[in-house]
Amino acid sequence: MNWLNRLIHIKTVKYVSLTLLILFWAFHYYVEKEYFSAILIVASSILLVVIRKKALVTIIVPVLFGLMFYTPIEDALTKISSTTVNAFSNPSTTLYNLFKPNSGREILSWEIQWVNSIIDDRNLTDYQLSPKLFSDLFVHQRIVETAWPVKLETDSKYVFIFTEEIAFYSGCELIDQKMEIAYVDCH
Amino acid sequence: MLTAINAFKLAFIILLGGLFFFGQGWIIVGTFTSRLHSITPKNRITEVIPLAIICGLIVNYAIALIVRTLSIGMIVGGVIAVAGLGVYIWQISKNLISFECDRSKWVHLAGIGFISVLFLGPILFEPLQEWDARSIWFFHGKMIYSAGTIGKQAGWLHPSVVFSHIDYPNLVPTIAAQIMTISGYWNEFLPKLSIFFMLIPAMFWLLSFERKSFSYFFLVATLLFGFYPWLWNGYMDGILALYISIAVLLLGRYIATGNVIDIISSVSCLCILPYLKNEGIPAALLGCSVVFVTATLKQKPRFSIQGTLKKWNLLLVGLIGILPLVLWTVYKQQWDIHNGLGIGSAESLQHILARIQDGSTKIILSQTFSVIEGSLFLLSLIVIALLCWKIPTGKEYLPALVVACLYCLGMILIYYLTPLDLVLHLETSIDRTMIPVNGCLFVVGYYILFTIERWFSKEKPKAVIKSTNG
Repeated sequence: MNWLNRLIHIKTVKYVSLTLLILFWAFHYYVEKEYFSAILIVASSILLVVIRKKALVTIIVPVLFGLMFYTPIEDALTKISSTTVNAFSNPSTTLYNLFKPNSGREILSWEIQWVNSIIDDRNLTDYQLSPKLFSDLFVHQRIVETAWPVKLETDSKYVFIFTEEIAFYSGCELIDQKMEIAYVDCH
Repeated sequence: MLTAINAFKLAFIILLGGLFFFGQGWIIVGTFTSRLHSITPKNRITEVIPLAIICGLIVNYAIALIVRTLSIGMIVGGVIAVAGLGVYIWQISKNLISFECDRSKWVHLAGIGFISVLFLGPILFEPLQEWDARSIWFFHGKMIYSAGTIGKQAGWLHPSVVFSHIDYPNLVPTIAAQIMTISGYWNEFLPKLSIFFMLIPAMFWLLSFERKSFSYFFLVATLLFGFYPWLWNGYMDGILALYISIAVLLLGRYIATGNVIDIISSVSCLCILPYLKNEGIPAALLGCSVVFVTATLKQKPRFSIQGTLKKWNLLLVGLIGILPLVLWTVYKQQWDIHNGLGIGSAESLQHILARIQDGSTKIILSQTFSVIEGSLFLLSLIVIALLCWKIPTGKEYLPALVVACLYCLGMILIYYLTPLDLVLHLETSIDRTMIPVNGCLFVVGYYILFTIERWFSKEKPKAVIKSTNG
């Protein structure tokens, strides 16, 4: 009953706080139905108390488990390896992208890329978005930041609209269109 | 051939940027070199390098805010950097400073180089994707770059950019704009190099804790890789968390060793916080309060708060440290830019009272717990070992624990007073606003693990003696 003697020797406050700590986590993970975590905390605690010979490995192993399962370290290492392998397997494209004007826009949705291509190709000095396009935050914010320093102005004559809104722009000339987005000139 | 030229260009920009910030910082750090040299153990003298780079980052931002025009600011900064490098070379040639590069120092530098190369991949070889990175931080960089100024002409008051939180500080956006000014065009890859420059001093400090031990592995694993993806994706939250964590980490070492370089480095880490995010201002105030209490409690004859305040040159450095904050606040006042959260207003108080009554507390606390659960669990495992083995603890972990608790409470208060929809605000931000709490808890875990290891190393000889006698 050495382990019992060891338990008794722990001061009351420490014993109570230790028990509460273990019970809290065990109960929390039990309620969350994360049984592995509940077992991990209880088993580690029992091992720490019961194993007579104090060994650093008894804390290293559960902490390593914790690092693996409760932190995003594994995801970080996966990300590092994938980006580094990609960069080294295709160094010319990777480095070319770094020093190419406007590179990286291809990750944006086609609407934003198309609006930007119109703005660039036609050297627009400003533009306007129809109320429906403006209300779409995903499109609106991305267009504003990619088109900058060409600015979104409420009185611009160059307007990007949804094709379904074309009736509201009867006085404007349809210049270009791609799928449901259109570009009209309202001069 | 083009690939080789591009590789050379990248290496050149990194080297140039490193020297640019180091030189600007050395003007300040070099002034105190003789003092630093007298109070810093020789084998840790390389720790003045990250100190110089951090100072350089702040000086560079201060110059950009004073001069406002980006190109002129870069020229002024360049001249100061050259002068700083000149001072550095002169001090080396006159033996006023010396760096003993033994084997461990080379291992330390090789470690920094290795992790830097590892970090270049996710930082630089992926374009800007995340929402805030595009809509706020690097959009600000693009605005500064396009206008060639950080002043009003950058377009802060244009009605189309109201979504971009224009009151936020612009340290990283300014560096991004400077890098792209050298390149001559904007793209979605190279501006992220600014993040890399921000991480270099942190890596120096973190690797200065190098020991062949599990606690050191825990420290590096958690602080360099445990903030994923917030350290590389263009958000400032990860960098903020990293510097708060390193500040309390260095403060812990100051408690253990009493080396003044650690408390100076800790304060410099805190100085950078207000220039990363608005949350950095309360975080820096909180950190400085903890530094003040620590320094007062551990006052040494050669370093005292009263003595420090009497030194005009230290006060001057302190003023330079807060100069960008003062300037940006003045500009915001002049341009009538306000924070969207309305902190301190009568409405915010009403929000707090309403949320206390409407059951929001449960939502806030449960969301907070879900974010810090991992670090709390790890810490609990370590604390259980400490309690089971009845190991006496030191005081090194206390600053980290205090900052973690108070910062967590501060962020909870922010969620109480937010004028935005609480659930939406929590869902879109809590997983990153609580990273500093995780970081500080990791530091607490590191120091407790360190205590356990130290206890084991002291116990073993006794055990050997016992067994020999037995």
